[in-house]
Amino acid sequence: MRNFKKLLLPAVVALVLAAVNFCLNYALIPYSYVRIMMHQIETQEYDTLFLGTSHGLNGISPKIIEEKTGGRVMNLCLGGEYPKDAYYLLKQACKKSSPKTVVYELDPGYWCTPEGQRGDFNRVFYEMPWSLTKLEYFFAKEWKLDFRAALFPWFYYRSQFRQMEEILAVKRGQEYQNFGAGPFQNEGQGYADGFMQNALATGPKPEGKLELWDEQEKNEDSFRYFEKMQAFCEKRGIRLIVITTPVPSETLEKYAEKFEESDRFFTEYLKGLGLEYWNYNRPERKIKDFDYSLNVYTDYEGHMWAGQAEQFSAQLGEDMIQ
Amino acid sequence: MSLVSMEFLLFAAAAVAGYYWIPKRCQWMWLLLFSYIYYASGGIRVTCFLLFTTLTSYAAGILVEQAAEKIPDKKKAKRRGKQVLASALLLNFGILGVLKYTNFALHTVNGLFGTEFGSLQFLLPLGISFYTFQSMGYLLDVYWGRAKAEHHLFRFALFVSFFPQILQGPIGRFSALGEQLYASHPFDGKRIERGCLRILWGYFKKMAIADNAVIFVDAIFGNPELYDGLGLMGVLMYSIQLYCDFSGGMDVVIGIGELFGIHLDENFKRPYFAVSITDFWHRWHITLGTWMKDYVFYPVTLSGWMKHFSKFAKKAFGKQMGRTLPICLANLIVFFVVGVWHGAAWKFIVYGLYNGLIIAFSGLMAPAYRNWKKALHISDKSRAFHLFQMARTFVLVNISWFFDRAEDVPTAVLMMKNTLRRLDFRQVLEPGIEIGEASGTTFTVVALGVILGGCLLLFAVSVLQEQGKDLAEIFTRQHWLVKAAVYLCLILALPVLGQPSGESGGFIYAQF
Repeated sequence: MRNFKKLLLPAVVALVLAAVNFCLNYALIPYSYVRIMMHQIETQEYDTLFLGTSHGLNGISPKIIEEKTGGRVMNLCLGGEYPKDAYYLLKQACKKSSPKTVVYELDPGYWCTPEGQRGDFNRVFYEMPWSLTKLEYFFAKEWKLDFRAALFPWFYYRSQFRQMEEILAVKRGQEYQNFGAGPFQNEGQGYADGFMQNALATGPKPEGKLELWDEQEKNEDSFRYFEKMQAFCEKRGIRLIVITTPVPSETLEKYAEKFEESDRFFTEYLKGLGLEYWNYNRPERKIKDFDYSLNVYTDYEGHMWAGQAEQFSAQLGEDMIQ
Repeated sequence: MSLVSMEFLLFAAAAVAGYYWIPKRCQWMWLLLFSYIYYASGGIRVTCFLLFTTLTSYAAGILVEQAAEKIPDKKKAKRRGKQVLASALLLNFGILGVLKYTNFALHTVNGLFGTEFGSLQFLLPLGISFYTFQSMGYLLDVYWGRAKAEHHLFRFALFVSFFPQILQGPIGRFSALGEQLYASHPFDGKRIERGCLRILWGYFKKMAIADNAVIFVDAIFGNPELYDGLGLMGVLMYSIQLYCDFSGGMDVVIGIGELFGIHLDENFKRPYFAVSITDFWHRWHITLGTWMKDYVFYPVTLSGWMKHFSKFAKKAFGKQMGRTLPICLANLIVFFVVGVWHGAAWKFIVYGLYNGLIIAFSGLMAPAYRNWKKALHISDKSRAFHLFQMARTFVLVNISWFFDRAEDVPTAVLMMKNTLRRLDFRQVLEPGIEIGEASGTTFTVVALGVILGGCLLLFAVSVLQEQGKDLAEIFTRQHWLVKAAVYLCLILALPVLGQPSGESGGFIYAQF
């Protein structure tokens, strides 16, 4: 009886916390296309996987690549996806699929900045189903982070409390239950055909804070996990290609030195690993009849509008089959 | 391993669980094992520095003791002891000095002589200032005969490396900590409860108050020209941030110590209730203050050259000054060292000297103050005078925070000037420069509310503690439902009210 009483306090605290956590996770974390991606890699098999950052998410149309290459294609690129996230996404995807090709979309900024701890940075971990890979991912990603990131996933979505009603409505709807992309359509962009389609934006474009390559600030974790990804692909006989999507000519001119430096560094680095690197900002990779002006991008960083993405994907598909 | 990381939480939980599961006589070994795992998680190379300090101070302690016991000639024994002590101090403080201050010295030389020495890359072991001070304090205690040398190497290694305190203190004394570390501790539910409460309270102070205040501090001190009307707010926020960050970290550390049945020294005693700068240093970073008092202030005051100076001052300025001036000089030296300890930059030296000068000035003016109070019929016991003293001390302390936090001394002076010339709190929410906008924190008003609410709660708790109430003891006597409610409120306040603790998750004093 005495032991029972002693355990009552921690048990009640743990139970109430678990209940509150469950409710707040449900009410505050909005539906995201990461859930769709996870569902797709859990239920379908793919021949080609794309991993990378928001440039890949906005710039690579799986449908067009499928048309070109003939195999099934999945775009798993995400804003804030570091090589570490890409590696675990790949491992998770390979539980169901046996891809022949993996294309990694490389944004040099992700190789010289520390992982941010805001917004969607924890999304992949949260949406990943329970498995050994998730446990491994936990030790790789959550282990050194603020404990609230792992214990209270809703922590980074507290600001959504005003949208709670909307979030709940979406989660109770059919689209959520059926992993539909309907809730992600809005005026500026929409998730459709397996990638984020930006509308053609007019007017001045935001310059924001461009994360440019800086060799002094190398994020060792990015290199380590990329090499793990390479070893994983090699072991399974998967062809690994590394690409960088084209950025607006205005950006390229303004930061020419940084882009050249990055190209030099990664060409050398990837050559050392025996990998192909297709940097679409290099003169010899310029795409014919492709508009490089800022007009067809949503920002200086180089997020393309959907039409441009399809044109780029067509070229990428061509290059892949060659 | 940051104190706010998942890694640390699970590490501490595993350490506590195993501690009460293994045979009691092995508990200290368990702590040593975990302490070294903890330190080695920061890198094997930095662990070599810890090992070096442990081995040199262990060997020096025994040699000093042996010299006193085994050499029959007292003079020879003293000389031998002194040689060993000096070598150990030189080696350990030398390492600390080289690793921490070489670049500062090079920059100063460059500035003075126009040379172009480049910065050198040094490995800076975490908590080096804390464990060096702790082990050198032990060595001085052995030399002065205040403590017996520890002959068990591994037990001594635990004293130097005890994991909760190694990163940011408190700086422990061998006489108080040694026995506790090596004794066996049976499971004590009440103590565990107290420990958990203390840990949660520490996290609350750090995450809910300090991390909200840091939004304002970083913005204002990072852009003093843009926020020229917010100097006062910046420094007030910094005083909140620094106190809640450092004392919150101490609460976590002391709370973890409690989980092992080990009582670590208190480092804070409601410092903003201090009535003078001297009193402030008796309440703020207490273990550093007492270390400085015992190992710098007294040796300096009692040294031969200080006696000569005292004699000279007595002759030149009279009996009263002859007594006061050496103390003032010793205080200046102590606070110069405190400033240097805080960091390798001139602003920290100015910060230390500022404190030393105020204390020295107060010492010199003490007789005049007494006369003025008598003439003005001011009683030391009056509440109004007490409040005045608190407010005066708070203002003086906040002036020192300008030096501590600003980029450099000229920026600190500029911010102080702006504080006097121009106050414009509207800048906090001014469109275009709204605080928090740049860092993506769009909840400026909410953050202000959380800081205010948190400070009110902290104030209420501090008043009760100042009245001598043991709140943790009161808590443990409550009905379990009340306890559950308190735990839940504190735990949920961390994600609801807290800001992310930065990418490094760092406590300010964990970088020393």
